[in-house]
Amino acid sequence: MALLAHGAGVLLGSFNAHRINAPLLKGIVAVSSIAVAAIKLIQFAL
Amino acid sequence: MGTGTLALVAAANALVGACVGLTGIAGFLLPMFYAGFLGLAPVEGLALSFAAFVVSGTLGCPAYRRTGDLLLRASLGLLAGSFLGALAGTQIGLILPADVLTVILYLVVLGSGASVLLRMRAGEKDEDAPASLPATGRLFVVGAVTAVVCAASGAGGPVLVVPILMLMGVGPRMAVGMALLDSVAIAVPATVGYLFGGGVSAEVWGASSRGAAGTRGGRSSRQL
Repeated sequence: MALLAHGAGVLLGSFNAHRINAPLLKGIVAVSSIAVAAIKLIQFAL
Repeated sequence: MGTGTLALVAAANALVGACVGLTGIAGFLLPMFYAGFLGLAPVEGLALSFAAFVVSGTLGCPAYRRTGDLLLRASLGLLAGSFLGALAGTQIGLILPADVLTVILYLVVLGSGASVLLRMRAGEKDEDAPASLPATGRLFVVGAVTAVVCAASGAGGPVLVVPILMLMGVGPRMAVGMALLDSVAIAVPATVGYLFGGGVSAEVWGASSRGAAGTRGGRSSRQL
């Protein structure tokens, strides 16, 4: 089910990639990843 | 395993898949979800994540191929390098202690996020710059190096390959299309390596097909 859900999401995203503001989405993903990684690394160091 | 966990796994995979299809980036969130949120061991999270990357790379490519943003012949060097790099990266991921793997994973995520932001700024300045394709040899080296890091840490590939390709002059959509195809070359050897070399239990592997992740009780020292 996980792989099916993942595949469905990929198909939805890839066939609509030209319609959505990808730079904004990339920015959100980038900022989120930096924040999560920073928190995890800080937790690991403490 | 509760229905709630099942729904959560499906929703997380669908959401990450949509982001991967849109931008090529977000696959690295899956190992974080499996290991950090559901409490699976790193190797198990990596195996499930790379299995998903095989799916996302395979299903994501046709849309980019249809719009002319994926040139198969030009991607061969990248694919060959990535396949070999992933073989080495998987062995590194299996050998390294869990703590080291954890730090590598989040350092890669941190670096990738920062590189995406930097690339977005660079993209704004060079928006009108003509797209070009690097030489096959350069793509081979890029594929090999990035695949080692991705296979060892659980990043899908595009999160590193897309910004690097764009920095090399490849257009944004073409970079995403090439990176999606490249993620298959990374994920296939990585999935096989982690599944058969990492001692992934049948219960965990079943999570991928039945959505049963999160059924394991207790957190071990190997968890992220």
